[in-house]
Amino acid sequence: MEDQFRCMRCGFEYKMESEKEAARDRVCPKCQSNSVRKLSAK
Amino acid sequence: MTDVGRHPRIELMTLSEVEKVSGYIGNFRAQVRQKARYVFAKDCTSCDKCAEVCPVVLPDEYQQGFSSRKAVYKPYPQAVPSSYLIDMEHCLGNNPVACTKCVDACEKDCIDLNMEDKLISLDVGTIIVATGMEIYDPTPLDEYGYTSLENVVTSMEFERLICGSGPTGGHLVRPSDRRSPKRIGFIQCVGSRSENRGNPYCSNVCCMNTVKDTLLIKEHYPDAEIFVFYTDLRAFGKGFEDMLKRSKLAGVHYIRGFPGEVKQDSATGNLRVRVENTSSARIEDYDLDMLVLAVGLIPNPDLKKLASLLNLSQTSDGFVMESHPKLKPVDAPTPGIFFAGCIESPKDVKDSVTQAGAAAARASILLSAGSITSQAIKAVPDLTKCNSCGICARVCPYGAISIDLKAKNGVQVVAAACAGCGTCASECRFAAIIMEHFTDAQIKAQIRAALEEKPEEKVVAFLCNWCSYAGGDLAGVSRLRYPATTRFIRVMCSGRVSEDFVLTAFEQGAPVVLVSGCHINDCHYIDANRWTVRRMDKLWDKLEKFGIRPERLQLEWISSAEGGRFAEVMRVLEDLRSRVTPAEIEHTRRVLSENRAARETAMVPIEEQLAR
Ligand SMILES: [Zn+2]
Repeated sequence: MEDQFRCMRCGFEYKMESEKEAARDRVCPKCQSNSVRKLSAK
Repeated sequence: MTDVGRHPRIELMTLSEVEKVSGYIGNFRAQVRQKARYVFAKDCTSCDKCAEVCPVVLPDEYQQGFSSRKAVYKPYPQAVPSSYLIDMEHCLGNNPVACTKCVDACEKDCIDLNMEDKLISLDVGTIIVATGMEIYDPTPLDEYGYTSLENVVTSMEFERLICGSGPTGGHLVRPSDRRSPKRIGFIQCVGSRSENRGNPYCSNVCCMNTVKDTLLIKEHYPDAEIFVFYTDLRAFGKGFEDMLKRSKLAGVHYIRGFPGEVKQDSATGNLRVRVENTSSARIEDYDLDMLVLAVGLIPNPDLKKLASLLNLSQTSDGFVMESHPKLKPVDAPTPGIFFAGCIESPKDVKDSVTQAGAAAARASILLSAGSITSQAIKAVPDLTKCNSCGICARVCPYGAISIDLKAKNGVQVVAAACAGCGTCASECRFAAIIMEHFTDAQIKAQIRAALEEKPEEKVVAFLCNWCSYAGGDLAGVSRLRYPATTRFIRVMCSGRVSEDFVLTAFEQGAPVVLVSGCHINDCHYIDANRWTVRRMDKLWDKLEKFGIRPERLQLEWISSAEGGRFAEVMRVLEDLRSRVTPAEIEHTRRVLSENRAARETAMVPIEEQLAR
């Protein structure tokens, strides 16, 4: 399953497999920030 | 091993599996399943008569499948206890009884096909976990032909082929025709140091194992030609460089480059290896009789199950994480549990023995003292506030909190098991857990003090004690410059930073708030920072609902070694702060203070908390 994430520093949005995401740090692919928010399903 | 087996004060339980562990340091209770061996170990004299008559022939795992064993067998010659056992999965004799040849052959009557597993409960003060490792299976790296070419073997298989107690009595032969190989190749780093295929880490022992193998071959077969394909050779231990020199002096060829393909001459079984030699910058072909893959080490596949039994945390490579990599390298984050050997990381015999000694010493210090000195940062439940919802018990990484959900009579915290991360207190919606020395009142007083004057010029940063705060320390001693507008509030773990603390900081006028802790899988409280992540997700949602820009709340994982990153994060925060308008801050203050009553209905006023 994939989740949608948004970087709270640069605003970049991306998708990632939930399992991969849980295994290590969330890191914004664009700015390397850890302030990455999992967008709740709406 | 024999000494351990004979020791009057060591009870060796072989064929046993830990199924359940409860309790805490000094008071663990383990449930162990001792599997039936179907042979009375005390009476068995290893006469082999049972195996002689057993009709079931199976590959011998210890000999890597190069020889066979029977369904009744001794795992290896030096096994402790020195007794046979029956592999019941393959035995023909039980349920319904169809064979029983071994029973008839055993003169000492020590075989019982109806033997059953025993469940044993053990009360122990400390636990040492030493479950070892497995080797990497090179099947996915098919360019090396491990599954299709008979004369391509792993280093573990090679070990059996050259060992005096191996299937050939130590005479090195190759699998296809049992001829002695004259030209032998070794490929290093198989399954190690690769981000894409295999594992990213160095397996530590493969280089020196190959060097040792080359010397062994040269000792017994001086005419053999040996080629080692590598990218780096890591000969870092005591005497290792000397050993590598001896191997080179003995005429072993070390070739810098990994083969891209291995082909076999189907008539002879000989191999041709094509490699880009990066020293000579040429593509070269090598004709070999046999090829050995120096496979890396991986964590024991059962470790995941064991980790959940013992509350151990695993690093991203799958090995267990220590309590502190430098100061407590053999301690688990859960007090009273210690590690030895490859469970912690790939290591050689010497390092394993050193670590085992350290773990035994650490355990015996505890046992001989009879009591422990524990730090005073503990969770204390306030039963007058507790609603028995059980969330604290669910989030505690140590299992230190128990609750009877039916009786609804409040939670109990085992002080000896509590490590003081504060996650329970942060998650409790009824302020029913007081985190001693890091109480809500104390932290809120710090927030207030930090924002007392010109709050619009400040950034409030909650830093965990072990990583982020230490990272800040490093930035300081490294003389790194960063803006002076940040106000640090130290907590033991980012798990302690409650929703209330963050909202309080915003309500007091903070333009930007940072929560910072150890990287995921590096948390000093097993996995408490995973709860931080969940809380941050909720907080971002909540801020958005209040009409507050969620970007004003930041999360960064900063380790104690990342002084530079710490300073960089502080610069980013200052940039964020400078872009928060006075109107935004005013709006935030108003919204949150209007909402405070709702947030605090169940909360205890600060003054009352201070009085407690
Ligand atoms: Zn970003």
